[in-house]
Amino acid sequence: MNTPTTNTPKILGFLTVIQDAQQRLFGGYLLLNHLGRPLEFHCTAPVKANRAQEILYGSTIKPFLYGEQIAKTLFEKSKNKVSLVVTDLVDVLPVRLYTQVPVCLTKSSISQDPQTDQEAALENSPEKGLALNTQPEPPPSYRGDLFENKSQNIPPTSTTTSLTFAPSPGKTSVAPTEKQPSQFDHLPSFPIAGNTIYLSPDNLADRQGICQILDELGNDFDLGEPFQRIQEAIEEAQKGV
Amino acid sequence: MEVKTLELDFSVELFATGWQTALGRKPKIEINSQASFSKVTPPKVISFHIENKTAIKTSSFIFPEAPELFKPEPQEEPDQVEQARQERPLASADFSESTTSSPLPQEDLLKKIAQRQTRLRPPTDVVKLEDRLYYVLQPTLENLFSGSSLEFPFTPFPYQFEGIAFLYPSHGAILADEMGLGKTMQAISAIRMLLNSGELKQILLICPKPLVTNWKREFQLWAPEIPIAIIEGDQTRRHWQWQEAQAPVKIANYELLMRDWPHLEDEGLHFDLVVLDEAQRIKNKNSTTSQLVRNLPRTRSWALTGTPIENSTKDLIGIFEYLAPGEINENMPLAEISKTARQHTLRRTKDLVLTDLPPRMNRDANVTLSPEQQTSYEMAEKEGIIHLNELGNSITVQHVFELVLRLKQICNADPRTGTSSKLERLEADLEEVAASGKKAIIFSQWVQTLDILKERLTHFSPLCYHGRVPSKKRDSILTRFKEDPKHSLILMSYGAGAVGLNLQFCEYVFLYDRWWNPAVEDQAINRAHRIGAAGPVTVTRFVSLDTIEERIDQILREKRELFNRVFEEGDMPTNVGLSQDEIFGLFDLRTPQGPISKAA
Repeated sequence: MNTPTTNTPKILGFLTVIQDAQQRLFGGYLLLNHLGRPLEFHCTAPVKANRAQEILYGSTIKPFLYGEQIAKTLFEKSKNKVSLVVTDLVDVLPVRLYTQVPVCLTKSSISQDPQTDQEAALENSPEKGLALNTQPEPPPSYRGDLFENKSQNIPPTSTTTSLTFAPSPGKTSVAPTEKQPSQFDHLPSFPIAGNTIYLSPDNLADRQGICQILDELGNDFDLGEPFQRIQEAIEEAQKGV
Repeated sequence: MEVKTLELDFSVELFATGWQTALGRKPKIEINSQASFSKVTPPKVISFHIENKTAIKTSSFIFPEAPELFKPEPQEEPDQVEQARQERPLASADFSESTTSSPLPQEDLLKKIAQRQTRLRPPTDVVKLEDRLYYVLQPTLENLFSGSSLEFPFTPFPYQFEGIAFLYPSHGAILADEMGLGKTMQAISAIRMLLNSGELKQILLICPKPLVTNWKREFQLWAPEIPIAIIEGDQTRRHWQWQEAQAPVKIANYELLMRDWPHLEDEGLHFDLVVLDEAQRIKNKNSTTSQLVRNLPRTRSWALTGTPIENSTKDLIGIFEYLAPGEINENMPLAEISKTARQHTLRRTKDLVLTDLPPRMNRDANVTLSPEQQTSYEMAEKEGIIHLNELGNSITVQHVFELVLRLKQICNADPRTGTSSKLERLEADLEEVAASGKKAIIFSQWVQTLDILKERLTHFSPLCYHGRVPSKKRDSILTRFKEDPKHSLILMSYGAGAVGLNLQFCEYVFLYDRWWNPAVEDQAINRAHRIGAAGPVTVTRFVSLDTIEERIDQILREKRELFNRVFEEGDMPTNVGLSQDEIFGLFDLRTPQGPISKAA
């Protein structure tokens, strides 16, 4: 890992939501210093939408629960000021509405599929790190996607992982219920510092700040890895319940 | 076309028809209310109150930030790294416990390391959730190392990372890897990480005296930035060294601990971690060493041993009295002992983790005593048994031992005539070894036997490495043995050569006589059969047929089976060590308490 170029070490927040077999949601928010060491961890008690919420929010229930409820609550708990919030779930992105801190999306190492050809091509392109890859047919807008366009196709469980508590500590017990690329592909993305970053179309202006932060962290900071820690920490916390 | 205009002049009168009057009259309106309309029930409205903000309960954990030490430092130029590596003492790479693959440039090393993911796990003795999460949320070991200024001189094996991850969070742990898997390196790396993370400040490492220099070398190799203090010299010097605050790691030997105990007690020293190397030294919980070690004020207790059980489960209980007092005892069911032991123990064997290690081939060389040896043996045994029987109730184990040793020495070589079937067989084997340009180690428990061998095997230019060889000369002997092709043979005593040496360039090991304990034999064999071994290692174990050696061999086999059961199957007998009954049983004797029920 390269030495940061600024005097103020960056703090990154990693925010995700995990769903267990009973459809309960567990939010986890991990703050890491520039060396990847933990500073804070916040997690929620299990959250579950009631029937009325399911009916009334319809297809927007997940952005509501993940972004506005769980993510926002966790975000407000942190003591340290973060430079960047990273999530591995599209539905957490709405938390950007409540903060000035850039929020970006990346693929978690626990559920990551083999790198797609498209990503590989991007990372190998001469414009690596320069050009923002905007898809030919992006959704109308971030806000429109979530709150207006009722036909938005977000599978009901596509963004969560099943939480099981395996007896063997060395093995990850998480199996993604559905492949993630389908929900990432419509988002603008760009490769940087060994990671592929996805942004909400409404927050493309965040890109420059994100690039600056990640450049400072160096190439060895795997943004997808901390989600495995959150997963295991939530499992560990649930053991005592 | 012509247009004409005509003037019309005639009067028009209104007639009183009454119609105009009606138009000027105000209308009269009557309002009739229909009461029935006002009684209609309004439609029902159901209101839902939608909360925009749901109260979500959260738990928060705040962790101490990594200290400055963990910050990466500017990378050295590759040439400088290589130069620094080359400048390290030759001996540390040659004869130490280093068990890793060849050195790699740092960049390649980091790439190789980054491919693996070894996570820290909270140990069972850490109960508080916050403490457990602290370990769960740490980055992988590989990331910790690649993201810090800490370097490895060699690429560790994945199982070694797992060993480090096991030790790092442990407060009471036994690293019981088979000899040759790099317990030293794993312990040093874990210590290094804990020191760098600020979790430890004062560490005491206790090892057998002959291994002190090994540890020093290993620290120089694996953690060159950590200052260490070797506790040695006269009393004044040692007292000063115990107080030395600049060296976070202090290395002492077991004997010194005993001598300096009053000083340690007076000074009230406290250690964040105490590491015992060759921890089988404290297997007897009633021994002075064990009691002193247990009384050392400390926060964490680690034990390193390839043989947590040498004779019986009592050995393991003795070690547990140090690292987790009271967690296991002799009254517990065997399954429970095994379960508890496994929670604190990490045990790997070469077969398990080093699938690429060249094979070890065991060969039992069963020899028949020469006629002269046979005569001497029978005579000695007969006289000895008569003497033991005459002792009656005053007989002790020591008396039996004396006879055993005498008979074993006859098996090695007849003291009257000097004849030896073993030696003849050994000589024949060595001819083959020398002709192939290979090197061999011969182990015996007696220096006297080694002297006989040295005299009879002069044509192989044997070198000697045993208790009578001064410590200062030992490293140079090993260097000569490795580098000088005319020395194809080294004669070693189990005591001096069984532990801490790295002789993987040898492909032949001869156990000229057998030690009481199979674990010690394994340690001896593993000087050659270890990581980096050039090729298959052939182990020849001499046994004189129809003698005390064959009877002892049978007991050794049983002990080996016990060890396997405890750490691999979880089922074990309470005591299959060389008990008093078994020792007396070697000669069908009666113990002072009664007849022997179990003959050898």
